[in-house]
Amino acid sequence: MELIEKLPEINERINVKAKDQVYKFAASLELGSKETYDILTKYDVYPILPSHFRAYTVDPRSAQQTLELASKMEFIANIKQNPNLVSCSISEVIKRMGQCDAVGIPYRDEATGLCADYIFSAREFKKQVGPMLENKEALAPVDNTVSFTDYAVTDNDEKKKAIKDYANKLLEIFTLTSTEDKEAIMMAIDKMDVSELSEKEVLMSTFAETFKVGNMELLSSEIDNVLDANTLGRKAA
Amino acid sequence: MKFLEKYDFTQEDIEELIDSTPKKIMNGLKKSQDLVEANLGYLKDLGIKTYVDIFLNFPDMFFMDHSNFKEMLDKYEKDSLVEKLNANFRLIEFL
Repeated sequence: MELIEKLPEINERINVKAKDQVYKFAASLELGSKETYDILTKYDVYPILPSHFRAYTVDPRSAQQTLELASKMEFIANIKQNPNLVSCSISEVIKRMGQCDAVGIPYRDEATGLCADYIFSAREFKKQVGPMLENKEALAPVDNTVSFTDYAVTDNDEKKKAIKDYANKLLEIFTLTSTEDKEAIMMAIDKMDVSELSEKEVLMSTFAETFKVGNMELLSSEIDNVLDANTLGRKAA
Repeated sequence: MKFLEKYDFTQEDIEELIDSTPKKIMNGLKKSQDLVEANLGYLKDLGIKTYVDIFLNFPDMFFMDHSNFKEMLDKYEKDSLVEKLNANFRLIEFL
């Protein structure tokens, strides 16, 4: 009920043509929270249409996390245009971006910076990008000559084992949980000469290359978190 | 949300709804199943083929009192309404 009181304020930004449609979506204002309203306002996210009121029903913690990541990953403009996207699964969005990047399917309009709608919907992604992905994957060269279990044991095995443990944690963070994702990153680590590189350098390079990560800042900060957590674990032990 | 299968929602449609709809709205849809079904059924029975898209994009609209929901649609000539909503389901927001 707390948001009903905010209606005059909220209504100011509603498209003139839709102002008399507010009653259709009043349930979302009734279910919405003031805390989520404040978080969205902090990021300059406002409903433009009454159907956007639904954004206020998102759990505040989840809204905060989504908006933070959307800023880092540079797709907050999409959320400003359609605040309901604040309820999307960010990990799935990142995964879809990665899938597009991997096979070179564009999803961002360079002029506006907006991402295509299918990035935010599993159903639309499957419908619009699915066939393209199948074609591109079928055309991609497959290297059948080696598998990541075939590599010879080296002096750097211990270091690689530690890096693989960190990689597993990062895969979970980015919800890259399929066997293919795991095999791809393990193979990339196995192929790499890690003797002259730091753990972070190996992780940055293999993740960026394997999953075509565009936002290096986010990747770097997540790697730092994983490495820091491990250091803390060691200290605590 | 099994009841949606009665209205020919596919598993993929239901997953999309779960993924893109805030929990509070989902809980409300479950609690108000009778009302939601009455509104959804009315839309489908009118011959509006895009009712699945309408539901996925505007789930909170289905909390509307059924008489208001009907009134919103009944004020238009049926064939013209069906034709327009089948061509562009997003128009429902502006009816």
